[in-house]
Amino acid sequence: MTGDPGGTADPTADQTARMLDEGDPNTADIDRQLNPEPARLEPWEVFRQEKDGDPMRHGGNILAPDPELALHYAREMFSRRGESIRLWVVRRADIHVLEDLDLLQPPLDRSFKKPGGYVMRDKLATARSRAGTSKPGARAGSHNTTGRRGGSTGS
Amino acid sequence: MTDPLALDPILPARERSERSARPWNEELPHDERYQLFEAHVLGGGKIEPNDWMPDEYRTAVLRFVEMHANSELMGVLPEREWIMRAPTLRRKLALTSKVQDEVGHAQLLYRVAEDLGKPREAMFDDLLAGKTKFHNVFHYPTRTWADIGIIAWLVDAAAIVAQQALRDSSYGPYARTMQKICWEESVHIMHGRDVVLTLANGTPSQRAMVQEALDRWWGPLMQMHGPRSDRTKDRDLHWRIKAKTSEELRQEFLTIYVPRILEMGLTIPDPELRFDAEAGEWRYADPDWAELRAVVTNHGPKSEERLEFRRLNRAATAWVREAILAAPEAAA
Repeated sequence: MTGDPGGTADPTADQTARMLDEGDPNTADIDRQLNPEPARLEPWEVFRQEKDGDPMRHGGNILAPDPELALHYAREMFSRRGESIRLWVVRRADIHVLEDLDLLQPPLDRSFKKPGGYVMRDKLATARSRAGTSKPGARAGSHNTTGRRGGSTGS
Repeated sequence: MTDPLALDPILPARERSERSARPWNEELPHDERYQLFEAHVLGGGKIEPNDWMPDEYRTAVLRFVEMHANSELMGVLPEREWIMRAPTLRRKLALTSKVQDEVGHAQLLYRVAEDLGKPREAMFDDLLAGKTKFHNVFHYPTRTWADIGIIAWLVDAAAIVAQQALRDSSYGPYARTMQKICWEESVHIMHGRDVVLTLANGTPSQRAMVQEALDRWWGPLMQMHGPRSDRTKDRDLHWRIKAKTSEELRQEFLTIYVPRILEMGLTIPDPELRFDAEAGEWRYADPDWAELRAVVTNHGPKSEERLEFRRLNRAATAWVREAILAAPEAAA
């Protein structure tokens, strides 16, 4: 401290530096144990479930030095009013981001992967006129494609 | 579209650029990239922290969010003074909870600002050195319990008018944070309105107390959104960081809250205040803009005292932050 004209240096750091300068590995090692490197605050992303059955949704982020405190802070920040029934915290550094967004939208026509890629109206009209049939009524020709189970087919 | 095999496998360029989440490209020259960025933002697009953004945009969002965070942090100090003096246990719990919410908002907003590149400690340094600002309304004293009602009702109401518009901000993390903040603020307004209403229905001296508080707060409330500004010159509006001008916010505040204040039998201390039906807007006495300028540059009645409290508080709690950082290593 005495050798620091500005008087701003942390005395512990100064002491450690001197020990290291003096080349005494044993003393330096003891000093490191007594004054370990401080943990680092880092961002944790918080995910929350609002009600049973909902997906986990991103809620925001907080700063914490470890998972335990990250969960405490997440609870304080994202469930003070009981608005979450489940919480996850993920160290931001553990999230990998796809940098090239163009990979998500390749310049290829992929309409064949979607229902809208199959437009059959004109083909059906041709088929009907070829076969001499008429357009089925909405009810008779309907087929349940919604994925829901109908309750009307009792035996 | 009828025969997948017959398709041209490559989409036309126009359709491709419409699909891309980010039309600008790292390899483009700056001017071209800037123009694409600007078109994206002006067209209602959102910006996320990992996106490339012009320095001008980054600085503008950072400055805006930092000021907001500072205001949430400093804004609890006037209310904090009344936690120990709240008239009932329920009021004490509600006020404590509001203070906790506001500090929580500061935490969320400082996180948004930090991700734009300024460390939290640097933001505290600048706030305490008077280099950055906080909202005018938090530079005034709280003289009676009625002040707590007026602050929670009308200061928060004036703030929420602005904050609701910020849910459309072009900066994604800020817009999302504002959704959560608005949801929590709506409870504060109910709490404040209930305090004011209880006093208004109380004894003559309680009624006088709440009227006196309104008289003192009306000026700062009318100044809070700032002077009328030229929409075309406002960079924060241009970048869609915010959505409305100061005058639009003030008009909106008056439209909603003047009838609710009058409903309680309170008097608004502005003889010129009236709704001009022809022009479709409120007329009011020109707010004291010189006072606003003095107050936000830390020349308000409580500016120095509140900053000094924050300085002492920061020093007094330093050991907690050190302990938190030391804990995991020491335990190992």
